[in-house]
Formats: sequence, C-alpha cells, structure tokens
Amino acid sequence: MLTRESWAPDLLGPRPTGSRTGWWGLGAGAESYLDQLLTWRELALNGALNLPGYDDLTGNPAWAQRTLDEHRADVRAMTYTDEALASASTHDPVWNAAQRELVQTGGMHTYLRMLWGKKVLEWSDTPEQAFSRLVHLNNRYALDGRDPNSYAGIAWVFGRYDRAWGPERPIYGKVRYMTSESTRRKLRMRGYLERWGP
Amino acid sequence: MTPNDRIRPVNSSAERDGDWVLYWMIAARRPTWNFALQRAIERATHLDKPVLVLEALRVDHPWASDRLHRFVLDGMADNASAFAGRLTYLPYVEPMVGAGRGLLEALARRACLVVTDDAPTLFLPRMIEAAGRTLDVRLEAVDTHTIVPMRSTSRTFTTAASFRRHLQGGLPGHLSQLPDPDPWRGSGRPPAHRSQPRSSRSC
Repeated sequence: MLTRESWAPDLLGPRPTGSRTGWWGLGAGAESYLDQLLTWRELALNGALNLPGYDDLTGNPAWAQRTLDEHRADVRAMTYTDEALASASTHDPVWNAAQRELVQTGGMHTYLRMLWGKKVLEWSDTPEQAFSRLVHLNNRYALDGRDPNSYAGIAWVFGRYDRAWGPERPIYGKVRYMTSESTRRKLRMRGYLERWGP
Repeated sequence: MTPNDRIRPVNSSAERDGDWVLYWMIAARRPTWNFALQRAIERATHLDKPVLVLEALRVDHPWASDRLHRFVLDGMADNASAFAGRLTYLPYVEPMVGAGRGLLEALARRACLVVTDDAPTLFLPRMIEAAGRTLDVRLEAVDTHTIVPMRSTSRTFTTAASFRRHLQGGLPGHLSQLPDPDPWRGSGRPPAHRSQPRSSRSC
C-alpha cells in the first residue's frame, strides 16, 4: 500500500503527535488503514505482553470495572444461555446474523463485531460471564480468535482503550453503549440480513 | 540482519556443536517477512549448517476444532511448498493427545541453536519458558509480530492516543528495519542447500 501511495519516509511528520491523521503524509483512507493495522494491532500486543489480566476483566481500567460493578445488579430484560448464543437463537436478527457469519465463515463484519460484543454484555448475568462467553465464542469460531487483537477487541466492549460515556445507562453504566437499532440506521443491513438470515 | 532488539535469549545456554539450526515455528507460521526464520537462516549461514523447521500442531489445545486445524494444515501445505528445495521442513500433527511430547527435545539435542517466535498470549509464553528450562542448547525467542519491537517498552498503554504517540516516535527508525520478504534468498544461500542432517560439526 505504501508503494502504491508513493510514500517515502520524508513524508512522515516531524514529531510524534498521537494524532490519527496527518502523521504519515498520506490520504485519509490510507492513514485510517495504517491506524488499524499498526496502532490498534500493536496496542493489543502491548497489552498482551505487559498487562496482567489482558484476557479478562481485571485488565480493564478502574473506571470501567467500577461502573460495571455498580450496575451489576441491574435487571437484564433478557438473558440467553451459551447454547442460544452459539446457535444464533436470540430475539435480535442483527446479532443472530453476525453470529451466523462468524460460525459459517470464521470472520465477522468489523462494525458488527463491536455490536456483537456489546449485546452479550447486555444479555449475560454478569460482566465476567459476558467476557468469558465472548472469549469462548471468538476463540471457538473466529480464525483470528486467540490473537492479541481479538482479546483487545473483546476487552474494548467493556471499556478498555475507551473513555467513559454519558448518559449512564443500565447494565453498561458509563461504558460505551451500542444498539442494533442504531446499527441498522448506520449500515446498509438489508443485504447482510438476507445473506446471514435464518 | 535481524535487529538485536528483537532477539530475546530465553535461557543462558550457548550455541554449541550440532547438525542444524532448529527453527521452532509456533506463532509466525509463514515463510516470508518472518524475523524468527530470518534469524535462524542467518545463524545457519554463519555456521554453515542446514536449517530445520519444526511446525507442530497439538490436538489438545483449548478451542481445538476442525476449522482451526484445517486452517493450520492448509498453512502447513503452503509452507511445505515454499520451503521445498531450500531447507528441511518438518510439519508434525499429533495423531493423539501427547504423541508429540519430546519431539522438540529430540530435535534440539542435535541442534546448534533453537530459534522460536516470541509470543505473548495463551499458553505460548509458558511453553517457551518451559522449553528454555528443559533445553540444554541456546533458545532464542524472536519478535516478529510488530513493526516497533513489542519489548521496546514495558509501559502499559491505556489509550490508543498515547500508544500512537509512542509508535510514531519509534516507527521512523524501525520502518527501515523490516524483515526480509524472502529470508532465504536474502541470505544468499543457494536454492537447494543441503537439507538433510549431516554428521556433527563444530559450530
């Protein structure tokens, strides 16, 4: 990609900025791709190497652990068994489609993978159970399961590498909230749901 | 050359007399852009020894499944093609639980040096450290995961922005030190180097 973009080292910014854009001296699309490929991937490796509890909730920041704990007793409108999740048998067609894609192909639409994790948090008895379920589903079915970036992605669902968000919501507390309804508005879902529907 | 800051001695043993340099491929299961393989080839070239690559698949690991094993087996077939005529490649699939126990030790017994992939997740760190305690030959773990060596900092980053700043500081120096796309060709060794074990020679 760097060759195609005619990139050369002298295009790099003069000093580290921490900014997502502008440092490589490339177009927005290329910089965004490199941010995923390098920043997020190598951040996951940094966590796997240096963070005790990289593969469970104890590796998450204190604010995230605290807010999930404060909402531990919140009523769950619905919960599902491990088997119901694995077999894509929830009430939510978007989640079911994503789970079917995972089971059938070993991969999942990148945006839906975030929603997929958030809903398991919402549908589990405890955050710990949700984390464990996501690790199991991901490691069992995903070709990139067991990789550092998979663990980082799962931990992100529970607030790692993220910030607190408002308003505070049931179950999620200050952890970023996502819904299937907003996903339907954000993405063109019809073809996806037809392909991965029941 | 493989940069020194990617090479981690796992034990205190030294290189020694032997028949080959053993690359124990456990994570970076690829024949190209692979610093660990490159390091093994570099040392073998220096010592004038063949390279032996061991890629094993355990059958009892957590989340073992037909899908994951098919993925690894397909990769083994690709690796066999890529290594043919260049080095000795030993793909090993356990026929039953525990059948592969002792294989690494047996191959390491005749090795000048064992090189493996540095890997921070699952059981791999414990497996590497255990091998370091067991083997009486030098074992090196080589970081071939990252552009900026992952052990270049012990700081745990909690945000992408702070890590991005760290990365941007290290990238300019490391972008010019990428692994060789074809470490065998890059070593200057002939296409069909002797690939069979020979009698022991001094390393």
